[in-house]
Parts: sequence; structure tokens; C-alpha cells
Amino acid sequence: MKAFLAQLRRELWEHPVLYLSPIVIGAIVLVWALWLATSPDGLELAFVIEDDDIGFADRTRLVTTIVLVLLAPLFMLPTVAVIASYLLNCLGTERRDRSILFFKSLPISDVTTVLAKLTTALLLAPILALAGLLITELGVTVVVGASSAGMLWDPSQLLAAWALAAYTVIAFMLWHAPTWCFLLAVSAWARRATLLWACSPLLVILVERSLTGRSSLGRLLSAHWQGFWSTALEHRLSIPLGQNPFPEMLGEVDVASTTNLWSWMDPVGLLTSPTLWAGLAVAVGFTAAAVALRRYRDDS
Amino acid sequence: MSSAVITASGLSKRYGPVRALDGIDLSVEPGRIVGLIGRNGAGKTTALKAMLGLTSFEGRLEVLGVDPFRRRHEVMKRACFIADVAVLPRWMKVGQLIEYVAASHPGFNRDKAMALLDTKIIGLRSRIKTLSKGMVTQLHLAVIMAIDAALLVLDEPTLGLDLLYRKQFYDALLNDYFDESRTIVISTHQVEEIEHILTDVLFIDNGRLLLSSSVEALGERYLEVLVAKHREVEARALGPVAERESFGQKLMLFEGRSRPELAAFGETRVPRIADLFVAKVAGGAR
Repeated sequence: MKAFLAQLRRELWEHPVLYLSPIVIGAIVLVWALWLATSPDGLELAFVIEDDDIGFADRTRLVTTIVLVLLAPLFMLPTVAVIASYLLNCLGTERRDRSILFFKSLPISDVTTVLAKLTTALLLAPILALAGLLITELGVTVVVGASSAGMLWDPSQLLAAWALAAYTVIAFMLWHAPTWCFLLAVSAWARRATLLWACSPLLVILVERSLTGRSSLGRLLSAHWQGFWSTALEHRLSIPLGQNPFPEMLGEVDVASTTNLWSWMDPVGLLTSPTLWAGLAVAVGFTAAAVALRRYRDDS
Repeated sequence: MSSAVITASGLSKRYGPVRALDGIDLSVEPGRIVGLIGRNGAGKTTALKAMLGLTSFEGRLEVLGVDPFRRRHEVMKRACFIADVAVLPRWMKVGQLIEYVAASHPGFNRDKAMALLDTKIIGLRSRIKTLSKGMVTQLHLAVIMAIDAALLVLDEPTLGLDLLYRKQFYDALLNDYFDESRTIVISTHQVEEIEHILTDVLFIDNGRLLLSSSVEALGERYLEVLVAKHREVEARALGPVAERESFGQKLMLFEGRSRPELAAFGETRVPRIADLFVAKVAGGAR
């Protein structure tokens, strides 16, 4: 266990972006929140209060929900990009700079090394991002709440928003495990042009389409990507596009249902989905390939 | 059960059509400093990589009692190696390297590493990429010497270093590390540099083992004679392994001839390992 933790620490040393990105995003969001709170033109939540269709408490809760829920993608989208980039390079850089010879001179098995990298990507990086999100959400609610008569200060909703973010991230990581593990295998496989190898399924789809007019791989991947939202989450909130979406929306939504963030999660639907388990089986295959490549490849 | 640290029989390795190792048989006993000597591309690095479990092979190979390829991480609990000076991760800080090895290797002694490392010159906060080649070697050696290992494998460890660092490297190895419980295998093509510390030599060329012997036995088995001009024909009739010119006189290398027998032709001496290597490789090439 000590050796495994040492591998995780090594990954954070080597890839500081994994913990720096949540800090940077959090700092930007907090500065933005501070600006909103202090600028006279910045915070315009009055429209909610002026709407007579919904009661004050509901309106407050709805706005709080929207703000908290929308903060999550701000953290998670860059984190997903960081994780993808990390996985695509984590087994290649040590070969390119030959430091693999040093790492292999220690009594650490290839399985341990590869699993440590996977754990870093699928567990450690999301935990760091979630921690950043939690702290930022706290900061935003305190900063904005203090300037607008407790508008956003709702501890129970904060907890629910954070639980929703944690659940969504875990579900997202599990659902897309084949993609992550494919990137890991590409990292172990590709000597150069790693990005090109990572895009090889797209090339297969293009070739399939040009030959047959349709692509079964494309349909499979597309269905898998879209399947996540319908399987893991209940749709509660849809924000119409427009300059100021809130007033139009408020009259149409079921506030009680929408603001109950716990009801957004559908863990039973996720865990009983055959697609999830099939994907995890594929992910195990890609991981085994990455281990075998690191072990058997002799290009040091 | 054999006490040998390394045993190989029929050890072979192919890279496509190229035979990097071709049926090598060898045995390395504990407490020896073995020089694996060969030209560039002779198969030295492949042999060492096989011993360290870094590459697959055909034939049988046991290192510290286990198959190194199947159980590399077990071998590495009791063995360590320096591939060459360039393999320490350049992004790491010196302090991180020490921490990492301490957490990853059960046989690592952090205090010993710190004592061996001159932290006035190599700061713990320095990144490895900012260190000179000599400093990186000193760092790597300090880390390796702090590991309680039965086998140390060095593959061209002083490549690219200046004379001073090379001397310091081998002095440290001999004075502060080596004892009869440890075995060191060093691969190099610069024989002169290490011949004074070796107890055994393995000559390798074109993937084949040309010679495996203790340095002591070499002195009994091989003799070089500075043959007097008028005795050249007679001496040649005894079948020297190799001949070369030195200051206008013939130097002939003989195998399995007694000193009194050869002394009749001129001054005799034990050949230098480098000369013996050249003679064997040239002989093997003929």
C-alpha cells in the first residue's frame, strides 16, 4: 500500500496540472463572484424577487440551485480535458525520456504502475476537482449571499449540489471508463503521434462511412455517449437559450421537483444498465493491454 | 541448490532477423565484480536487460533464484541497476527522488543516501534536469548505494562523464559499496577503465560468449611474450592466439602454455584484459 501511495504521489509531482487546475478555476470563479457581489451592475437577481408567480422562498431556492448546478461543469469540463491529456501521455513520456528504466529498476510491478495511473485519472483527479468545487461553492454562496440578503446561503442545497456533482462525476467516470482506458492503452502503445492514435476510432468511422454510407462503430459510440445522460441522471432542468432565461423559465418549471437535487440522481438506473457493465469489461481489457504493453514492449 | 547469483543456459534473444544473444551459458557467483565486455552492439545491454527482467528471452535464466522476466519486481527487491546517467526522471526534484525511492524500495536507507549525497552541491530542491551529468551520476549512485541489494548491475554507467567523475564513481563503488555479500556486473566497452577492479570477465561478441573467466585464472591461462626477432618463427609454431607489433617487436599471446616454456622466446607477462579482449574478438572475427 505504501508503494502504491508513493506511485500516486509521483503522479501528482509529475503532473501538477491535476491539482493546479481546480485551484486556478476556483480562484477565477471566486474573483468573478466577488466582482458580482461588489459591482452595482454585476448582480441582477432582482428579477427573481419581482416575479409574482412564484413565492420568494421557491425563487431563492431555484436561483441557488441554478447557480450551484452550473458551477459544477465549470470545474468538471476542464478536469475532463486534463484527465484525457494525462491518460494519453502518462505511459508514453517515461518511455520517451527513458526514465522508464529508472522506474523499472525499483520493485514496482507493471500492474501497480498502470493501476496507479488509472487511479490518479479516475479517482484522484476527480476528487481534487470535487474538493475545489466544494470550496468554491462555499465561497460563492458566502460571498454572493452576504451581498444579497442570504440569497444563496442554503446549506442543505449546497450539500445536495455537491452530492449531485460527486455522483455525476463518479457515474461519468464509470460510464466512460472504456474511453479513459483506451487512452491509457494508446499511451502505452504509441511511439509517436499519440493524438492521432487516440483519434483512430474516428478514422475508422470515416472509412466505414465512405465505404458503406454508415458506420456501426459511429452509432455504437454515439449511443454510448448519449446514453450516459438518460441512464445516470433524471432530467430536471432545461435552460432555454436567451439573454435572460430565468423569468421565462420560472413560470414553467416545477420548482419543488427541480430544486430537489437528490431526485436528479438515478444510481439504480446506472448500476442496472448492461451498457455500464459491458463498458467496464471493455475498460478492463484496455487496461490489461496497457499493462502487457508496458511489460513486454522493449523499446527502452 | 546453486549459490550462483546469475545462471543462464542457452540464453538467446532475437530482434527480428538479428540474433542479439545467441545461446549464452554463464554463472556468476556472489561477491564478484564481473565485467561484461564487448563492442558496441555486441549484446551487452540485451544481456543485462534480460537479467533485469526488462526484455523477454529464450533459454533459461535465473537471477537471485527467480526468472527475472516473470518476476521482475521480485528481482528488483534484491537487485538494483544504473542503466546510464540519463535515466533519472528529469522533472523530479532531488528530494522527491529520495522520498520516492524510500517509499518504493523496502531495502532503501534514506539516512545513508543523505550521508552519501553532498547536499551542499546537489540541493534537495534542485530539479534533476538542472544538474550536470556528473551530478546526476553522483545522485544516482548515492541512491543506489543506499539500497541493500545483493546484485548491482551497471550498464555503461560512466558514459559521457569526464575522467574525474569516472574515477570518483568507481572509487566510491569499490570503497563504500562493494563487499563479499554483493555482486556487481558492469558492462562497458571501455575495458581499461574498469579492469583494475574486476574479479571476473565475460567477453561477448555478436551475441556469443567468447570468454568467461576469473581474472586470476586469466593469468594462469594466457601469457603474452615479447618475442625476440630471431625466435619469431619458432614461437609462431606454438600457435599464438594473437600477434601484434609493439615498438618494432612481436607480441604474441598464448593460451594454455606454461611460463617456462614461453620464457625461452622472450619476456613474458600477463596480458591486459583489453589486449586479451582485442585478441579474442579479432580471433572470433577471423
